[in-house]
Amino acid sequence: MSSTATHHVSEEAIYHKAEWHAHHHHEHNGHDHQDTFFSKYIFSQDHKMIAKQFLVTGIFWAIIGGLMSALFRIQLGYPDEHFGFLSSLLGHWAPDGKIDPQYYLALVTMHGTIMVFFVLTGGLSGTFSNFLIPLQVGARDMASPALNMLSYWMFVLSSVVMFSSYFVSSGPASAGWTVYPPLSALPEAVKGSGTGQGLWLISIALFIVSALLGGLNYVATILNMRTKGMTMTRLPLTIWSFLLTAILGILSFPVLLSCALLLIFDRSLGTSFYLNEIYINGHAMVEQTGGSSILFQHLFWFLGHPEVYIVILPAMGLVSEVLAVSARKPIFGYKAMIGSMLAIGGLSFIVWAHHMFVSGMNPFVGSIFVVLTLIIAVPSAVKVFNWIATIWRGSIRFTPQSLFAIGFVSLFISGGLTGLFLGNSTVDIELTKTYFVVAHFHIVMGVAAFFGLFAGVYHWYPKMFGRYMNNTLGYIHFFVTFIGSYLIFWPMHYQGMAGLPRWYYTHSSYETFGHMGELSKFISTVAVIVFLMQVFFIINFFYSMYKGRKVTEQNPWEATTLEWTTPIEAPHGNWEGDIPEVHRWPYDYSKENGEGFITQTTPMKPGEVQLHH
Amino acid sequence: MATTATYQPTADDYKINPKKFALWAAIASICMFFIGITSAFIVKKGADVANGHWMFFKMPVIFYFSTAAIVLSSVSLFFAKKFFLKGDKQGYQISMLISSLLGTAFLVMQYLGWKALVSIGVYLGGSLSNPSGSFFYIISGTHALHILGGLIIMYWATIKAFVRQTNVQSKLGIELISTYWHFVDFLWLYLFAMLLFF
Ligand code: HEM
Ligand SMILES: [Cu+2]
Repeated sequence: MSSTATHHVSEEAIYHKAEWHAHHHHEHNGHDHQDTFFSKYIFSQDHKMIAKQFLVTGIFWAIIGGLMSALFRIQLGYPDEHFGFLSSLLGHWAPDGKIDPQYYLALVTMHGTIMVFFVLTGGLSGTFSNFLIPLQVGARDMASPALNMLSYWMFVLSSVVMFSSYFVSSGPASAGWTVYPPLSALPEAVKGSGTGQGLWLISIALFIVSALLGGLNYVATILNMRTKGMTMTRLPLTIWSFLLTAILGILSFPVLLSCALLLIFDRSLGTSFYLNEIYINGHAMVEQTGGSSILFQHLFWFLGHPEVYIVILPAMGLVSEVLAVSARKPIFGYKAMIGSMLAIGGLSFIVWAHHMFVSGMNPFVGSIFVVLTLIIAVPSAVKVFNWIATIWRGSIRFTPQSLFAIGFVSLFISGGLTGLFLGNSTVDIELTKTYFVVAHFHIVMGVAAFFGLFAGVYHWYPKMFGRYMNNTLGYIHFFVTFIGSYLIFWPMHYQGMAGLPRWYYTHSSYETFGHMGELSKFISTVAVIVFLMQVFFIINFFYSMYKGRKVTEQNPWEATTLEWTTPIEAPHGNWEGDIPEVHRWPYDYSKENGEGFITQTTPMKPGEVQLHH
Repeated sequence: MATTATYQPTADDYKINPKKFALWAAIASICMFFIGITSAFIVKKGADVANGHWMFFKMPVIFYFSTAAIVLSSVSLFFAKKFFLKGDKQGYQISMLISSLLGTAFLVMQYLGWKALVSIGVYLGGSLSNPSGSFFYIISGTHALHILGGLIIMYWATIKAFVRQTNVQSKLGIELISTYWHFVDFLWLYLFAMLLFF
């Protein structure tokens, strides 16, 4: 059945499922309606365009978030110096060239919020789930393109609200990305807990709506709109990772919403869910009594921990795919990869209290969370083993994306190992308020997820824009970022073990940490350099859109998955003719003569055996 | 490259319509929201009852009536779907109208219930409030928002049922509406029981 034959089904007649689909195709084949600038670039319902919108918005936020970190690292590394440019950049927040202590907290808070939510959730998952799900499962678009568009615009709205908080007189939110009350509830405690924190909460609520709309669509599309032959065990690992990410989001973001809602009420309506008889400078601050701030922590980390996997799972999926394509080898342990992601996803809901070992919890309860937490190391190790086995003795094509994917594996190992330290409550109680934790989560989550993002961008850029990015710039970008990240975050482990506290405006006023000044200076210098060097990526990204080498082959990386069976400039609806049928799993590399690859659309030969069963 | 496959997916490839599926996923998500809030409620109440902070109060009786209204509106929506599938236009119109009106009655009664709470000194916030009252307002209030969303769609469908000339229309719509409505109905029963007994 060709979809063009049923173009003019009237809405009235849509009675059966079959016709729903016919109708659906009518909307998305894209030949019979004219694209205006607005419908094509702004209010597009094409999942590929929405993906690019997420990506560009994510890049915007990454620049802002990165800039924040460069600024507060300058404060940490050079606590006694004055820089004129800080005054010109931050105005009254940096009088005489030195960042105001309250604004320092705002910078840290906004950096964390922006990176975790807007870049590594919105930017990463939003971009690649949107781009790859329909293309790789063989669908013309998402289950609901309209909701998908709405999801993006909610993200924009949430971004606008968050961005506007930079311009309120009391400054943006300053209570950390975890916004613990009472700090986040009382403007008397820190200025940012005034209007800035209010905007933060509104923005995050909008962000949650966006994430939920997106997630519902991703799950519905993956489970229901696969092309013929695309069984669950023929899905690329990218799709599996997006599926689990979306499920984690659907189940954990609403809890953050309830958590934020109660905070909003405490802040503005005088309820006392989280607040209890607080004194600041000897004055009772609130008449509210009987609240419990620990309650907040439980609700927050019930999202907070799954959230770190919402960040890392898509990166894992992208890396798995890129490694197999680059190494020209089947992914090692395909089903173990799926199983370990399922295990990680499931476990991520029952380990949240490892963030709360010092909250005064019963040590017995704590020890249960220790055990559950350490179990996560098992599926994590399975994945690492499989990635290494995948590239082991492969004929690796060292493209920028494969380097970033390999870099991801390295970072994930380094950062995962320190997770084991922190997972033990006895060790964690010493380390929890120190730079050790900062080192842990930046390596395992922050930088690693960025590497997954970069691998994805370099790999799918030709599919997104019909042009290649420049490889030389890509190599420079990789090596600077890879070496730089280790130079920045590795020393922080030592600082943390020596007790250097996180969240402090300056350490130089403490005798104990005086000897760490030079190390902090070194870290800060490298951090600023690495931030500035990202310009190699930015230029490469935008320049190549217009001037990059044109893609001339349909399948430039010789990959097996479905997105490379679409035309180089895929139309809205993705395939010009019918959607191809799938006959095999996505990792048939080197099957026959040690070199070749067999696309998913190639039928099995008589007598051919499937590799992964 | 093998782009020349000849297959076009049809309805048979999908076990369940993606929109229905998305609704179920949304329901799971809404459940998590209320699980979050009600578990906070249970934990907080447990602690506060133990230390004597918890304020006990009697639930105003109007909430029993609103509960009856929402259950009845589900019943009439159940019949609305039956009529729709049978092609009984008039029955469909009437039962849709009844469901919508009962849904509205529910919201009005919730509002009256909140007023009754204020009159017995149970407040949402402020210095006279207690978490027990605040939880009551927030749980019933956020639930009311979910009802409101469903009600808007229900009115829209009711108007369509009267205005539309033809009998043939999407079965999907009524299926989605009734799934959602029965869900928010059950959700209220759960929350009601929680507020009443726990
Ligand atoms: C073997 C695996 C892992 C274990 C055992 C582990 C354990 C822990 C523990 C116990 C903490 C609490 C530290 C503290 O605040 O005292 C922590 C913090 C953190 N972890 Fe991990 N982790 C692991 C992997 C990961 C991964 C894969 C990610 C992200 C992708 C991640 C992201 C984070 C973040 C963001 C924090 C800090 C949150 C904050 O306080 O701001 N961890 N980890
Ligand atoms: Cu965690």
